[in-house]
Order: sequence, then structure tokens, then C-alpha cells
Amino acid sequence: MMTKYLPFVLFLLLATSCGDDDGPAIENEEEIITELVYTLTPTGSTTGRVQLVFNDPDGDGGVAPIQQVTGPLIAGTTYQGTLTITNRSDPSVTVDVADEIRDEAEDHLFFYVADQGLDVTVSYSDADANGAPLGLETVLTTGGASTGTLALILRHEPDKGAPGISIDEPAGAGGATDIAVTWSVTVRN
Amino acid sequence: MGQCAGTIEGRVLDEHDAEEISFATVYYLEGERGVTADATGRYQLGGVCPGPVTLRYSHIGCDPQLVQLDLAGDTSLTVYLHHHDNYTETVTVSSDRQASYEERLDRRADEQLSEVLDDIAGVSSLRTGTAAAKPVYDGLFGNRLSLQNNGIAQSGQQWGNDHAPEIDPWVAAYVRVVDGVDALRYAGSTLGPTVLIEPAPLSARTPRGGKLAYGLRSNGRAHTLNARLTDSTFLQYRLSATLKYGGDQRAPDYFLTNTGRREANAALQLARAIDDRWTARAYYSLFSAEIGVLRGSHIGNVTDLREAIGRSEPFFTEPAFSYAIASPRQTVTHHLLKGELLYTPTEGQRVSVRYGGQLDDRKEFDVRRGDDGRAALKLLQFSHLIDANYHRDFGEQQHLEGGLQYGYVDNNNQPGTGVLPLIPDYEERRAAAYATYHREVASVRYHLGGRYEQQQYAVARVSRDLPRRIIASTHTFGTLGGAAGGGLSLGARWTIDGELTYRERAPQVNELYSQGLHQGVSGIEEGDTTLVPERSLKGNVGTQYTSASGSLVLSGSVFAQRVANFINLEPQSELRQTLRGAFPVFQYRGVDARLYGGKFSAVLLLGILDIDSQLAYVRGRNTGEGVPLVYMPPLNWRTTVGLPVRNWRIEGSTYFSARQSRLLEEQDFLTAPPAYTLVDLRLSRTFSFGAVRSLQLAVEVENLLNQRYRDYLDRQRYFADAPGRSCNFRLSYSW
Repeated sequence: MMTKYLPFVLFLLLATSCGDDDGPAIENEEEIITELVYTLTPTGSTTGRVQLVFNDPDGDGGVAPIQQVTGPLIAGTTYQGTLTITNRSDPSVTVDVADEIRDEAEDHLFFYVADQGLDVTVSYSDADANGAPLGLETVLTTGGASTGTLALILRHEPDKGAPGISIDEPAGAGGATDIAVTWSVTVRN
Repeated sequence: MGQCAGTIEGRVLDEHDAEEISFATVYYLEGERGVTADATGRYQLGGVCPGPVTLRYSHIGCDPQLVQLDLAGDTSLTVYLHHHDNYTETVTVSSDRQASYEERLDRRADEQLSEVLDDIAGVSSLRTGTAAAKPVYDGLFGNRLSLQNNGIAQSGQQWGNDHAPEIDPWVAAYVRVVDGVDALRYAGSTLGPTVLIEPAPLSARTPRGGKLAYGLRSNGRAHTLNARLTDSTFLQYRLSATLKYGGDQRAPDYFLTNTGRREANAALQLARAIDDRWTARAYYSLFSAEIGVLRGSHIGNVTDLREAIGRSEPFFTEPAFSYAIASPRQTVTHHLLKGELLYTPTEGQRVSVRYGGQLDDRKEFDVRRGDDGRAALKLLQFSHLIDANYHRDFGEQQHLEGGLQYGYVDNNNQPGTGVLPLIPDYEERRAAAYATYHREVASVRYHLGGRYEQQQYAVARVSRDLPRRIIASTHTFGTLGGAAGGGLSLGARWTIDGELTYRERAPQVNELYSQGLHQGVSGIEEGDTTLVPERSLKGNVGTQYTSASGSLVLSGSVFAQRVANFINLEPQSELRQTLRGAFPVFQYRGVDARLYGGKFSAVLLLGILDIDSQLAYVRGRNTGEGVPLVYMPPLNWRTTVGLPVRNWRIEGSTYFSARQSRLLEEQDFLTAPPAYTLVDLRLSRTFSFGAVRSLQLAVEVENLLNQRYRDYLDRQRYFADAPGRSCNFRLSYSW
């Protein structure tokens, strides 16, 4: 009588004994940002360029990121600011994340917040298709000699029309923060 | 009642395994009197008048059963009640005695499983808004509380607080929590308590029939369709199916945008008595759901969270209702297949072999740059369990039970997410042996048991530093469990019971290896590979009083539990610098913890009114660091009052939740929300056509006062209020 059910029982036993022992695939991390550079070039000049760099080749976790500023800014100067954002997690391909952001400009907004005494003013010099600011391209004007911090913030899907927001005031814009990096910056005479 | 001399005698047996039910009550309605069966389930009712006789068989923890007969001469009658293990009765004795458990659960088929479990004294829900809820019992949840779906440990990603158990309440007929000795036989990660979710038993005695139900909920404009059919051809079968379709729910002041839900579930239960000694059973269930997560709860860093907290309404709140589900969202498909072979060589001996296989496919979609349609988390898990159990009676008052289990889990991250996984790939093997012994001597009952389990993990994780590579590791843990308890009947009214339980729980893979940002947590979670098993000692005592008339049942129990190496997610002092700013780091650490609490319930029949009230509280403390444990349910108190008016039944209930004041300010981003009270009102009626056909109609208002509230155990309380009022309508037809 039991023979009738034997195939069923055997099937169940077999089902329990087969697992795959392949290792996992290493995910291609298409979304991380390994390098962020805010390049400030004095207007009408090819020298005196300053770069604010955030470098984290292995992404979150692992080795801590490196942040550096290549030199001081000069007081009373206007700089053209450009962001380059790249993902080099896959050594064979360098992904230009700034380009992806430009493609979805309506869903992104950068903020530049100077704090702790840093005397600089930043303004947008680019816009999305709706004419609202984006912030990959900016103009930074230094005031007098000072030191302080400059924070760069990228919000994904913010409300660009939210009341009270401006280039140095993200509160109220909502969305999710994709980038929040702060550098110590010096402006000297 | 005159000089009637008819006698009805017989036995009261358990429908499940034909074991006798001790001390059941047999109430003779026409004679307005009853008798109590003896320890072996035998009863004798004398002085019964010829003609129509109605008998009500009842027992605490059983569905009452009404038997009508036309008495001509002395009659012998064996009645089968549905009853679980005849020891701990943790399920509440509901005041609505007219309805069976199954019927009471059916009324709630349009809700989530966790809301149904909330009705059990001592159970609360840990929620992620409207998207997910999981049970908390005596302060334990997740890896410390296992769920048995039809006797098989529910697998899947049970570690995640935002992952609800993939079980359709429509399939369940009985839900309850067991602890101590009764929980020793169940597999699954637990520190003692186990939630049992069971469909109605299916046997040759099960009558054929069916039920069709439709429910509409105004909040979320959700439609639920349920169907169930029980029949037999060459075997007994029961087929169940559920469809749910709901859209955005609404808090009192705004829509909870993107909180829609779709579900399609089905289950097939089969049973066949092959001969007198062999019975075969099989069960298959499919749960599939797509669940929207509140859009305004998607945040990128701690600044975003702080900004979200202060808002009067969540970001991304749409002014209009929508059925659409966008990211963030989850899709989950869960298959469960169970086969069971039961062999009864002689009366008093049973051998059963069970196999349970599960496949859990979970995908979670985040709001992301580029393609939103690509899951950020994609996990596929296979699990298999084989369980052999032997039960032997020694006489009528003692029995021994033992068993062996072997379980295998294969957890795989599916490629294509573009994100390094939070949980690594792993294989888990568990082998366990258990034995329990129960004995009853006159008014004293005692039981004891033990369990030993060996677990092994083979983990393959991706390194976080460069170059990325696979790091393989294995862990082996042996865990021991033991419990002993006893009960004493003081006369016919009072019972006292107590139990002492020692359990060990091996760390789970998420506690050993999770790494990264968990969605919505605003913190980096890190596992610790050096964790050792938790060791817990829990004692509880309880008492129950039943008044002579049976119209008042009071019960209460208290527990105290000490846990060494309690694996706790502890905030670390460092902040981790990432591209999205600095994040607090939380690490799983073994600490010493202490929990204690109590549950009290009263069921009172007052004239035509019936009142059911239950209160539960629990406290938890990390004694190593002298701080409270987080996610402890605050004191809660639920009361239901039922009133029959002609053919209608009116039921009002209140639920009070106190404020969780036992928290330090630095333990959370936001202080615990204030206390709140919810009021529900329902009106129901059953129209009967003949003996078995009936139409049930129910109209219900949940959160009648449209109370604005946030619950401490809801992880979306940072972002939004809980849902407001809902008017529900439910129509079902059974035959």
C-alpha cells in the first residue's frame, strides 16, 4: 500500500537535498557615486583653480571617504563652479552621474550652504526644462577673508517651488538627500 | 421539568486527533442545566425529556458545538470539538460565544493577519505604517517570535521589521500563542513564544460546505473577495481564495499617498483516510501581494528625517485618492507546500512525518535615480523542513511526545539590483530533537520537555572594501531549550498554573552580517560575527476563575524574563561619513536584558450584554547599560461590549494605548507619541435559510471618532498619522 506514496516521499527528500552552492554574483553598483569634484575656476582666468573633492572608491562602509580642498579661495573673486560626479565602482566603465542627473534635471536640485563664517555667495547658473534651477553649474563669489564650511546637498525629487527655499536653504524642499558633503574652506586676501 | 427519565451519555473528543477532552461542559438548553464530563471526556446526563433536545458542548479553548436531536430513548452521543494541546490556553475566551473561532476570524478576512492577532491578550503589532505589521508577544518579535503556518515554521525574510508574515487571514481558522513546553516542538527562530496559525481541520467528519464573502472598506476604498469550498470526492478537500484591491488610505487630515495594496491568495487543503491506521494530508498555499509604502516616508539621510518629523502633512501628499502604487513598494510571493503522513498503529500511539517546503520571493523598490522599476532588494529563499513526531499515551493520564526535525534554508540575493546586498547569501541547516511529557493526577497537571538544536550557516558575502570579492564563512551553534510547568485545579472554579522556561536562541544571519543602510531607518545597521546565542530564563504564573454560572471568567498572568546576550541593535558613538552625510551607526551587540509584564482579561455576561476586556503591559530593560529596551509595547487595554437587539448584534469596542514613557530622549529621533483611544462600532445580522445556509451582513465603523493618532510601535510615526475612520461593509453567504 505504501509503495503508492513512495515516489511522493522520494520527491520530497530529493527536494530538500538540492541546493546550489554557487557563490553570489558581485553586484554592479550602478548607483553609487565614488567621486565628486566641485571645480571653481576664477572668471576669465586659467590659473587659480580650486577643487573641492570627495572621494570614496568603495562606497558606503569599507574604507572611510577622503575629502580635500586643493587650496584657498581668493577674496573678492568670482568663480565659475562646475560639478563632476562619477561612479568608478566598475573599473571597466566610468559612469558620468552628472549626466544622469542632467537627464532628470526636473527631479534634482543642488543646494550650496556656506556656514560658520565663510563669506561666499553661490548662485545657480543653469536650469531644468521648466526654467527652475538645477545647480550643476554655479557662480561663486567670495567676499572678505574668512574660514568656514561649504555644504553641498543634492535632493532627489524635491519640491522646487516650495516656499522659503533658496540655494542656501534646503529646508522645506523635501525629497530624499542623495548627496550631503561638507568641506572646510578658507578665503584669503 | 416533570418526570423525564431519558439518559444521554457519551464522550467529548478532540476533533483533531480524537483525544479525549477533559472536563467539558454539556449544557441541556431545554432543561436549563448542565453536567461536566470527567477527565476522560465521558459524560452522562439524566432526566432528559423525550422530544426535541438541544445540547451545547463547550470547553475553554474550543468552539462550542450545538447538537439537536429528537430523543426517543436513551442515547449515546460522541461529540468532537476543535481543541488544541490540552494545556496552556493563551487564546482569549471571547464573549461572543455564539460564533465559532473560525466564524469570528472570517469576519476579519479583509484585514491583515497582524490585526487579527492583536485580539489575543498580550499581542501587539510592530508596524511600518499601513504596509506591514508583525506580532509582538510579551515584548518579543521578529527573530524572537516564530510563526507556525499550519505547523510549518514560516520562512521568508522574517528579520525585517518592515516585512509582514506572508499569511492570508482568510485561510486561518485558529490563531493562538504558545509558550513554554508547548512551544518546544516547533522549529523556527524563537526565544520561547510561538504563534500558531492554523486552518480548520479537515477530516472525514468535516461537513461539506462553502462560503463566499465580499467586503468593502471606505478607507482605501478597498474591495475584498473571499471564497472557500469544502467537499470530498475520493478525498476531502478545501479550497480557499482571496482577492484584495485597495488604494490610498487616509489619515483624518490627508491622504496617505501610495498606501495601496493588492493581494491574490489561494490555498488547497487535502486529507484522505487511507485506512484505519493511515491518514495522509497535504496543504498548499500561495500568498502574493504588492504593497505600497507611504511616499513621504522615503528619505535619504538624518536631515531629511528631521525635516519630515516637523511637518503637518507628509511630503508628496496628493490631494486626491488614487489606486496607483509607485515606489517605494514591495512585492512578495510566498508558496508553502506541506505533506503529512499520520500512522496510528494502535490506539494511544501516533507517528507522523511532515514535510514543509517554502519559496519566498521578495522584491523591494525604492525611489531611485534612473529606473524606478528595478528592485533595490531582491531576495529568493527556499526552505525545507522535515519533521517526524511520535506520540504515545500511557494510560489515560499521561503521554509522551518526541520528535526529530531537519531544516534547510537557501537564501539568495538576486542579481540586477545595482546595490550591494544588506543581507548576504547563505545556506542554513538546522537539526533538532525534542521530547515532552505530560501527566495528570487528579486535580494536578504537570508537563516538562526539552529541545536541542544544532544550526549551521554557510555565508557568502561581498567585501565592502576594494577589490570586491566573495568572503565565505561558516558558523555553528548548538542551542538548548527546556521547560517545566504545572497546573492545579482548586475546586471547579479556580485554576492556577505556572511554568519555567529556559531557551537559547542562535543569532540569525541579519544579526551576524547585516551591513548597510536599511530603508527608512536613517542609520547604518551592522552585524557582529562574534555574537553568541541568547540565553533566556522566563517564569510565568497565571490563574483563572470561572463563576458557578459560567457568566464570569477572569484570568490573569504575569511573567518575568532574564536574557543574557540579548542581541540588541545598539547606537554607537561614531558617526559614519558617507556621500549622503554622517549617519549614526547601530551595531548588533549582546547585552543583558530583563523583561516583565502581565495580561489580564475578563469575560462577563451581564443579562443580555456580554463584555470582554483585556489589558496587557510589558516592560523591558537593558540591564547592562541601565536603559530601557526600545520597541516595547506601551500598556494597552481593549474592551468589547456586545448587545443582541432582536436579530441584530451590536458590538462596540474601545482600544486604549498608553504613552510609552520608558524611553530616554537619546534613544529615538522623536519622543514617543501621546496616548490614544480608538472606538469601533459594528452591527451584524445572520439570516438563516434552513439548517446550514445563511447570509451574514455586517456594517462596521472603525476609528469612529476619526481620532488623529500615532502609535509608538509604528515606524512611520515619524512621517504621518495612522489611518482615520473607515466605514466597512461585509456580506457573506455560507452553505
